[in-house]
Amino acid sequence: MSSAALTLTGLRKSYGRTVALDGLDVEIPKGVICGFIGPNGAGKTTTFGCVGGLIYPDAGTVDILGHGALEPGIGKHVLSMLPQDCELVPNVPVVAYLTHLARLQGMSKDEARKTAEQRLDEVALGDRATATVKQLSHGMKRRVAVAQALLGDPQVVLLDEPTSGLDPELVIRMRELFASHRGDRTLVISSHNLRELEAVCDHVVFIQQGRCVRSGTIDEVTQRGLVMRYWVERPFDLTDLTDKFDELAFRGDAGILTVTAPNGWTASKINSAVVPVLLEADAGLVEIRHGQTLEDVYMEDHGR
Amino acid sequence: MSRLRTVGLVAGFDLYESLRSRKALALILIYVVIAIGGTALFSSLVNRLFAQIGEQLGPEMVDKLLESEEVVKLVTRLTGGDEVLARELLRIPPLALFYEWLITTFMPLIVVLSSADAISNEISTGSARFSLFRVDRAGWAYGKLVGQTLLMIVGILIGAVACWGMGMAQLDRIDATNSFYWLMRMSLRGAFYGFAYLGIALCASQLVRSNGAARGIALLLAFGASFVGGILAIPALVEKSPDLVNFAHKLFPNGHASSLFRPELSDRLVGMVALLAIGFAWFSLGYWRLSRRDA
Repeated sequence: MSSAALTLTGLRKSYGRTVALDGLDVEIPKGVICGFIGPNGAGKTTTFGCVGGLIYPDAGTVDILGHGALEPGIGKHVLSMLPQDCELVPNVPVVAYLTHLARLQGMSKDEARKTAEQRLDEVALGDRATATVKQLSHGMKRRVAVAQALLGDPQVVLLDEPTSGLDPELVIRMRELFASHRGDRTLVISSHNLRELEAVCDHVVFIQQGRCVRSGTIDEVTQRGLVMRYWVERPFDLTDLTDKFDELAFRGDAGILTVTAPNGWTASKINSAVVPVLLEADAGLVEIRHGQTLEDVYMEDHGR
Repeated sequence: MSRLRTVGLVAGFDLYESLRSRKALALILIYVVIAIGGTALFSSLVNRLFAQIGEQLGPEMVDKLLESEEVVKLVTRLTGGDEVLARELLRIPPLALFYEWLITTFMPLIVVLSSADAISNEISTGSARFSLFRVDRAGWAYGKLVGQTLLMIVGILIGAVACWGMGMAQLDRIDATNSFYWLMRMSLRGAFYGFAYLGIALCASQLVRSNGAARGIALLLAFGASFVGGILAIPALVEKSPDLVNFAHKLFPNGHASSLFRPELSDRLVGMVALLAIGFAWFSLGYWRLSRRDA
């Protein structure tokens, strides 16, 4: 039995001369919430389409839970998704639409209706169940789209920009909803909101120009435990630190001192070494952060 | 989940969604307007004709005239010498015959215009993607075909009821029960003819993403099929190579239109099966493309 929820090997897809996926290799473990990160045109949506059987790859393989590629309608409904920029059918009541989609997954009418109502409650739309899709605002439609992706008991759920157009309160509610599925199923979330991903994900995959450039647990990618950052108000002489601690790497940039330690060091050990020096140098220490943010990593990958 | 269940669910939802939309209402309105308008003209013509016959020969002569051998000969000439067909046509109430002519004339255009975007619209708006990772494409596409077929049948039947209502109100001489019975029968026969064009419409709908392009292609194919089918029925052409031309004529919907009126069930069944086959063949051609393209 595979320990990976999703394994993509050598996935290639071109649209005419435009290469969307260029030999993408990705492995996402079971039960994690994985952030799928990349700039516009990196191939995120194409990847989701290939996994969901909507787009046919030119080469490469997709393996879901060790059972091979998705064969919609055959066997148990193991994968669900929220595709990007898709319009819901406008003229039917939301609950009837979700019930229909749940029935397509093989559920009985009663079971489908029950799960549709439950998911609508989870996305705070229980009171709009009988409204038609065209009567809903953009944010509400987005929530209905999220609800349809969580219908039933899919083991792998792909969510393409699930919180775009939602207000901050709903973004938090969605984040809590996604977090509540941690361990039960594998959620792969594509988003440009890196802070949001950082708050909910425990695994990340960075793709660029159709290739995976970085992946791992969020701790690995952000180097938590090995990197500390210090915000200082005044300039100081870096040699005060480099002369004392040759095991550590120091980088000062725009009032931020980044310290990278080798294995064996801990956050408190780095602080014990660095903070006294900064205080003595009267650098005006105002903030300390543990590790990098996903934004830092993203910017680093893009040479900024 | 079985494909049959998928087809049923997709068809049911397609019909439900269509009936809730203005598009279906507009479609039904078109059937009703054509039925009422056509029947009003037809009623006025028939009333005048029967009135003139009654004036010149006496009212009791109208029925006798319609049953006379002279009229059978006249209709036989109009049907290309097919006396069996002529006698069957004379057995069917004129209102039902007229409605059948009306739907076989206008339905290809209505079906093509109303159904050519059934699949292309869902592909272009992306709503198909909510279904296509849940069910296989064949089940989904066939479900759309069945849904549109049901919608067409609803339209034809409502049009038939409108036609009957108008006939009841306008015609001086009408056997209400018999006319209603034959209207329903002819409507269902007409649905087979419409299905052949529905296949053409959904073929186009699966070929392209744009609704406008799908309609354009569907119109072109439907017009082409009617035109070529019409050419192949020209007697001068048939005489040159009867076997070949007759065979070629059977590949087009209008090659089977007259068989729907024949009295023998076997003849009608052959026509119905052939029309279904033509519809499925066109649909399958479109599906061949849909099954190989990105959604």
